[in-house]
Amino acid sequence: MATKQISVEPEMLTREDTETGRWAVSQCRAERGEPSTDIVNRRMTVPTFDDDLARVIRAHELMHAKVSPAGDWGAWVNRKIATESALTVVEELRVNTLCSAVGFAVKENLTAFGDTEIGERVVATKDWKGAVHFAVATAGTIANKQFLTGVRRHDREWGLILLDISKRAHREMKKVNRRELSSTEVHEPSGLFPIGFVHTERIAQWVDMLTDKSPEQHKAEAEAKAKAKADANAVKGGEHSNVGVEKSTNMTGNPFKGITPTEASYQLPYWGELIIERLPMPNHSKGNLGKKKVASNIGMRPRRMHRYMTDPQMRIFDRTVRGSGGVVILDASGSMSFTHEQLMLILENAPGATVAMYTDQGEGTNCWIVADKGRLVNQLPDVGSGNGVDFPAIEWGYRQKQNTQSPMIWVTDGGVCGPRQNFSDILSMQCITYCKQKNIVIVPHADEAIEQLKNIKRGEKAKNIYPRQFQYVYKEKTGCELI
Amino acid sequence: MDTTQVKTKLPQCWQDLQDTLENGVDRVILFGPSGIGKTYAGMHIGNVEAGAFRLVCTEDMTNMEVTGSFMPDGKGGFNWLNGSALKAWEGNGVNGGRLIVDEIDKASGDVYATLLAMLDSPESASWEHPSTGRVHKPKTGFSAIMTTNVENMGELPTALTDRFPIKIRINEPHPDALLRLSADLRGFAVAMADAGDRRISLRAFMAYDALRAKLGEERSAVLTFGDRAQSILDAIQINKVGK
Repeated sequence: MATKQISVEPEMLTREDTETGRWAVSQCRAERGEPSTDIVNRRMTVPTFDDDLARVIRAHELMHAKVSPAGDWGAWVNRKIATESALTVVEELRVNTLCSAVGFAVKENLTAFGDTEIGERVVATKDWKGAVHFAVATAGTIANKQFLTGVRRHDREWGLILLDISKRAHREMKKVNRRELSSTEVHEPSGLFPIGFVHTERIAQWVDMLTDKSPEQHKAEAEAKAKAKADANAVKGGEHSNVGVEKSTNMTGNPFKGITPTEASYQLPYWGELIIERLPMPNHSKGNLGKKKVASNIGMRPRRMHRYMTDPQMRIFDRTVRGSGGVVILDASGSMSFTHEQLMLILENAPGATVAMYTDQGEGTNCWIVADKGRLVNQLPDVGSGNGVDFPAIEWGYRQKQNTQSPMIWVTDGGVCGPRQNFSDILSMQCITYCKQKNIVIVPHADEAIEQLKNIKRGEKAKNIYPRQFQYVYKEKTGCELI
Repeated sequence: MDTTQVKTKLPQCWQDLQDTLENGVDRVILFGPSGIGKTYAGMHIGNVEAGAFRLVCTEDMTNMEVTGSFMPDGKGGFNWLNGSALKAWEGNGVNGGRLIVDEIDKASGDVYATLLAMLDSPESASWEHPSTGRVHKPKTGFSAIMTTNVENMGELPTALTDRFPIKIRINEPHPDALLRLSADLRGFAVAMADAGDRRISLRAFMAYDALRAKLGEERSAVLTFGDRAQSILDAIQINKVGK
């Protein structure tokens, strides 16, 4: 057993975004979960034995101290482009890739006792997310090989898929040049740092897509789809019996192949800060939130007998009208149009709804509330610049829902982007994912929003009419149609 | 921090010292880790045209080194030799010079008492020559810089710290001293100068720098850093990741 103790020198590491200083270093065993690095408080726990495994672990922790986010970790998580757990595992991959790039033998030495058993356990517990996370975190190391051996012992299909994911994750990280991948510079426009972490973020978003559904769920979905198609064909009848069956990659093989990460040339996209202005609302709209009784010519018990003589339609009964409100967020960038008449129609179909329009004009207010709680503006504001704040606007809109049943509609042409930036597929995916999670209906025009509100009013379900750009991005990233 | 470029801007501690000396404050304590250039700074920074005189305090030193003493002249008589403090008071005869008192915390009681008298404010400071009876006073322009490795200024006697209103912690080597080191090691020398128990002095990096040209990095690291050689080389390797 090695008895010589090796020191570790985190003070020697320099960064663009963080001051150097004294570190508190403590010892631990060379086992998974024990070594750690706290950059903010400058604390490092590493094994200090003089052996190959301890050396790569020390290198791994030093690399964290060199390139991982320090005080800005929360800011990256709050961007909500990827989940915190995905960011954590992909950061492990980035650090291992960089260690390997500077000559540390992570491929040969970085492992821990029990990696094979972890592989067996994730399959036994059907923990698909845990399996993907472990595969990505250990990609490019011997631990990955041992983990996959454990997986394959119980589920060969999972083993093949996870092997493919590990390879793709590793390849994706290696694509980026070392200087860029390890950069600790501050991204001036957004103030985020370290800039090299953007690659962790983009791959983490991909990992989130991979963990969304397990292979079994993909298979079940594909089978259900095929069955629905077969049933539809049977109902139609009369079709030629010699019609070929459409090829489906989801029935057999790897359904995750179609899910791809954003390009390595990815530049850090970011949203602007949402600045909201509530415009003066001198006008009242029809209807309001909550229950209200209105006169009706149909009913069981006449309650408004006076109308028998005065109302030409003789509406002597009561009818209960429920205004459940709703939220309509309008992308008011240059590529969109919206009129006061459309606003009136929205409120007619969703009494008491909150309607806001947003566009980034460089500075100042970028989101205007034009209707709220049964009141509306006289005149719509001057809009029609960039997008800039799509996600913050829909996130804000979601918080404005009057109750859980209130519908929310986002009117956009899909050309989402940050302030003074080009279209970003990563930001688009962020918006699509959020809307899917929160049941936010997406339509490309205000007229369609009115149609959907009419449907809701009739008690029908609102339908998403996804803009073409969203459909294209979704297909490219997930390999599935956006429906 | 870029390890290959010479900084054009002075580090904050050195800027503080420069601003202090250039704006009329002539009593400064420099403290912080050893081997970082505090004494060098005392000897060279600011106006030292009238001379800089160094006094290294130890427990065994006597007042002789502070004020002076009679020394045999080889002809059966004695000559008076000025000590460092008196030399600094006199400076070049026109203006007072600079007294640099190193390791003040190690001075014995009587030396310490004499130093208090010599470092008093110009109006109060005076010393009478034992043979001539002449009363010496510090000439205009006399300044004093004390250096110590003591980190907590509270450990120094109040009478002393009262005489030195400005206390600056020097935590980085002076950029001029760094220039003597190869560009790729400068960042490390700065980072390790104030690394607590794992501190590595500028001198150690200079030795490593000199050796590695002939002996190679590994052998030079072993000779210079001993048991820490591997970890230091690993850290250097990691730090190169963005290069």
